[in-house]
Amino acid sequence: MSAIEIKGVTKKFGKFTAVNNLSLSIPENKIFGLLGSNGAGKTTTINMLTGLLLPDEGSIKILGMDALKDIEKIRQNISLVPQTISLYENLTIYENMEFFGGLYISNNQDLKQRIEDLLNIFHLLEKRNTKIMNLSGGYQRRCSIACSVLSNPKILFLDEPSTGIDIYTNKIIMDFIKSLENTTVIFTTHSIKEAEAICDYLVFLDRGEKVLEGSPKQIVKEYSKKIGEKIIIEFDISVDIEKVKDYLEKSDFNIRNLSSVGKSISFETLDIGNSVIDVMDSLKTLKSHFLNVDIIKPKLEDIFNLIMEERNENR
Amino acid sequence: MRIAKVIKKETFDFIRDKGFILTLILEPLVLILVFGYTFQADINHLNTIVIDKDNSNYSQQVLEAVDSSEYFNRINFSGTLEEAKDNLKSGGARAVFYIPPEFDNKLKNATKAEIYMYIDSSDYTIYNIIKGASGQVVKDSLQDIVKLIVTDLESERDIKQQRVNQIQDLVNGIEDKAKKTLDDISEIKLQDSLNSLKDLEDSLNALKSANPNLTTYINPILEKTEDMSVQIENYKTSAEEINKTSNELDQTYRDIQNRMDTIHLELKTLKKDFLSFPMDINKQYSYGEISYFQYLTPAILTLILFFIGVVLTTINIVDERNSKTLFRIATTPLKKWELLGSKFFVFFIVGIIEAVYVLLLAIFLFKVQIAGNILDAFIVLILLMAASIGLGLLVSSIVKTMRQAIMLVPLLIIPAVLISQTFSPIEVMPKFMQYVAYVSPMLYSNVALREIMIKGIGIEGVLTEVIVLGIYAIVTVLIGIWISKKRIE
Repeated sequence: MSAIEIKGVTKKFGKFTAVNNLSLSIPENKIFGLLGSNGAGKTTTINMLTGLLLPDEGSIKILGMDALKDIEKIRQNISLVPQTISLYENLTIYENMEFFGGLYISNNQDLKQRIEDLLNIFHLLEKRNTKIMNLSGGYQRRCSIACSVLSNPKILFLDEPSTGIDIYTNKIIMDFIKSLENTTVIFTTHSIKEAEAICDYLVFLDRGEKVLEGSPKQIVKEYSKKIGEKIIIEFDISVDIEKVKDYLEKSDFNIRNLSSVGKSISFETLDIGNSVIDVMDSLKTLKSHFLNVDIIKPKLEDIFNLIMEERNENR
Repeated sequence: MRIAKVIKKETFDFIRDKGFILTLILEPLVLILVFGYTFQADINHLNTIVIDKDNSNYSQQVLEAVDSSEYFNRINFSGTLEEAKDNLKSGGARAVFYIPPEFDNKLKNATKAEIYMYIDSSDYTIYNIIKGASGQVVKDSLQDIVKLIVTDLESERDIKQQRVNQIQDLVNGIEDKAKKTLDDISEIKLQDSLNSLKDLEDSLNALKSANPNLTTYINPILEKTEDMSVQIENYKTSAEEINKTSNELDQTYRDIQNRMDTIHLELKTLKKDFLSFPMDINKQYSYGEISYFQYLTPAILTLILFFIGVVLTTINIVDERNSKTLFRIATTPLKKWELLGSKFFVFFIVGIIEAVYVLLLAIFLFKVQIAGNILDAFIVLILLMAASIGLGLLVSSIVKTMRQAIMLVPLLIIPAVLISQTFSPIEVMPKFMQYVAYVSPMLYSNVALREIMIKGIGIEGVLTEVIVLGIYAIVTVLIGIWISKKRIE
């Protein structure tokens, strides 16, 4: 069963369409990344999924329940980590956790135990009695996430959780997210690298529209054929690089963007199998000994940028 | 229980904000001090110029009345009226009294006498105080002037009385002499003399008849007898005239005496009337003589609690909305009535503490008397606080940002203060504004608190206001919860 099913959802603010006819199916217990630039519709989508906003059109089902009719039941099973810290600044870490956890967990012993566990996981034990206002951004972010996972939600919404935090905090958060087993994580971020590293499934949004979706591997595989792969050949010191380059330039191999740096030659190709064979044969002919061959697949960032360029050209 | 956890959070969130707690302590203190000293301090000893062009005993009374008034401070001035007016413009004096020549003569001749007064009307409050105080000066000086007039009349009366007494002595002397004369020449005596002369005449005529030869001697005697008779007849007539004249003189004296008696009576009556003219009204205050500050105190208590109730609630909720904690909470199972109900509970407790604090400040700092039961006043203040929090809930559900809240809250509070009988009764407003005033919870609190604190009426006497405040609180809280959303839009 899908944790979340979105069909034809549209949300407008006046004349501005924030989300346009969006359909998604998010599988259970996976980390799902919502990517896009500013104003792409990520937060609006999250707000609709958490019941903070009502869609103008379309339907949303969360854990099999209608998001419009059964929102109170849904709220028992979901949790949101907002983009902003959204904690009570005059309260300590422990008091904030006690409050937010208390909204879900009625047994005080269970709650206390859960708080202790999360204080430990998020490395917050020593700061447990410090007011939020006296904490650094990293601690605040960790506390914010800890407050949202106290209830062991079935679906956890993380709206750009790595904004403005240090590398160490980011690692703690990412490790925690990866460790979640029975939770579907919906994760919005600007950082494609981060999404690529953590997400099982990705959706790229642009101006409220879905422009790409799939697992990171699927997306890269699919776009490798469209964008091409980069091949870097490192030669022995005795090889005349310019001669090799000149030979390859004059050949009719299916390669592009040929360049040389030091004792290396790089080029891109859409047909990696045939191109590599052709180049290798040529090198034998030239009696040029190579030391190493690297095949570099396209990055998600490149793919996204390409898509965005195409979309901007078409507008 | 979730609600207990929310109450705990609200309480902690509240008491940890030391700055805000300090504000809650200082705000009522500052407001009550400002109101207390602003409305309690009397404006007096205003520099005043008096120009006396009459220099009479009467004008002296005006000067003394000005000097004895606490509102005026007569400054040394020997210039002209125009120079005095310049002093008004420059602020050297706030008022000028000008007593024209002939002031005393006009009063003596029962002609209306005038004092000219020039007032600095640039300051509305001072202008009104001088207007009221000048009336007191006129009243005081008139009282002394009337006393002088009566004293003068009494002196005049005494002189006239002396002259009447002299006339009376003269009349008495004339009467005595006339009486003696009339005694001497009384009619009976004259008649007896006439009769004797008649007898003598008869005897002489008989003697003459008997002795004709004596005729020559008797006739001259008879002639003399006749002359005497005529003379006696004349005396008789004169006596009647004297008597008549004496009676007339007596009547004239009686008339004069009657006139004097009338003057006496008139003067007596005049004195009474004059002296009772500048009478003091014997004022009987139903609820004791209260100061303006005492009148204002219930309204100040109302204002402080209304302000705190509305502002505290609005700012707290808008602040939560701005910090997005409200949105985080909105995605949790917490129901909005649990959240807002908890907030209401905490603010209500804060309100109760504030109500006690404000009441104690008023009592101990400004010796404000509470004629009625302090608990009754307390009940009204608590209900007002509840209504104010309810109003704050309503406002906070309408405004979206702190900026909007800061602009809207004064827009709510300032008109509410002005239309709610804070400084003056609602009867001074146009009819339609009086109907608008009924929308303000402050009105009911002001009315109820004044009844309790000034008139000493019990809570049963202000049940209408208490019930309206209670309903107001319930309705605003319910509507506030109802229209507040668990959604962003």
